[in-house]
Amino acid sequence: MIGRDFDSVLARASAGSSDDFARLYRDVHPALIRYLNVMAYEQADDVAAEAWLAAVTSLSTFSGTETSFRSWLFTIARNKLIDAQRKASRRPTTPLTEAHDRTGRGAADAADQVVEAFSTERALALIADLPKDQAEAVMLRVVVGLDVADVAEVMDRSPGAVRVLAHRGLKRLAQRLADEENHEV
Amino acid sequence: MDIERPEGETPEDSRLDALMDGTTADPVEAALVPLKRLLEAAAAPGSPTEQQDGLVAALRAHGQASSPTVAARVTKQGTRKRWTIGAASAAVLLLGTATSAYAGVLPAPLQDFAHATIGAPSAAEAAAENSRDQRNPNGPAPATDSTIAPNPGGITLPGNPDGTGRPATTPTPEANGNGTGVAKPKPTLSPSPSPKGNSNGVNKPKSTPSPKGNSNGVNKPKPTPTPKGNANGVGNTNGNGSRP
Repeated sequence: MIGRDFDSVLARASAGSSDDFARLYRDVHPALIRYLNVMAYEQADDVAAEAWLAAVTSLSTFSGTETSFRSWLFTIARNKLIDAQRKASRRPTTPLTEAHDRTGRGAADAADQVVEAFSTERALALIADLPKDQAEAVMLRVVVGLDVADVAEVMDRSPGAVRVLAHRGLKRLAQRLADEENHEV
Repeated sequence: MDIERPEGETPEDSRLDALMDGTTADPVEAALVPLKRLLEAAAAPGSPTEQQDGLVAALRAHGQASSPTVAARVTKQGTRKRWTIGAASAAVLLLGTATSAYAGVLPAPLQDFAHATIGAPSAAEAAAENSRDQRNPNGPAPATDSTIAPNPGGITLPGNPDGTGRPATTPTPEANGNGTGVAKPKPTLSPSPSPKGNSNGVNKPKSTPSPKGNSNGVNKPKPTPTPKGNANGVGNTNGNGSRP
């Protein structure tokens, strides 16, 4: 998070400062690409690019806090993702091999090594194994850093529903980790 | 913002909330340690690779969007698009209003305004027309046409049936030549038994009677009456002519 400088960074980025825009980008993009990788790995890069393009085009119209900027950007990304998935459903392509290699999903030892020292990639792979809406709630709450109200806005759900989804997701993750630990013992 | 808490929420739910918010008190309860580590790993700061991924393209897009010329072009295109949409909407609206005005279905004040401006029927005319239509739901009577209208009553209609003024092709005994000055070309295409007169539908009796019909259905004065038939050459009916 950028913190107190966010307002000035955003103002200068909106005015055309490349350095300040790059600072915004570096701050938000890792969370964005992780979120998209969990939601739809095959389309993550394209959707991220489209989301940034849309955000850049209307950056001068945005005003608000750093949290609301993230909420705004992730709402754009989510809408782009829905569009991309709709298009993909008309022309389905599934590069399964590459997906497994990159996320670790499907690998035999994906969960075996996560207890002691998680890598970010493995942690994301475990979250990605959750049901879609639970994974999304967890990602937006934990990785993106939005509060329940913002996540509810992004997901177009009620705050209560978001809490339930996130709790269920975390409980399922905890259960899986416990199972893995018992298995190792 | 107060978040509604579903019924049946357990203390564990509160701990999970704290875990997601990063406000968990240390030391974390043992059962949640692996989960805490997992979430910390998922939310770890972005690697340089992640931070740079796609940055060049985004910067290029940012530069283009920030460029004054691009911004002006976008604004200009937006303005032109708005004008085009507005003009098209106005044209459709005007066309629809004009059509309604000529159909006489506008409210009275608007109908009168249309009457004054574009010559549409006035409200009174439109109302009269509508009431006439209501009395005769099958629509107005078909226009009388001497060439096609049936004439069962034997009413004499003027004019050549083909409207050309030429003599009818079928000979008829009702030829002119009776000195009445009435040309009688014979219609044969019409179901009407005996339309008479000229092609323009007007009988023009002349001061000088002529026993002959002419080709255009207009009697031309002839200096000398003749007992011969008319132009269709089929003789007359008054008995004082002779067939050629």
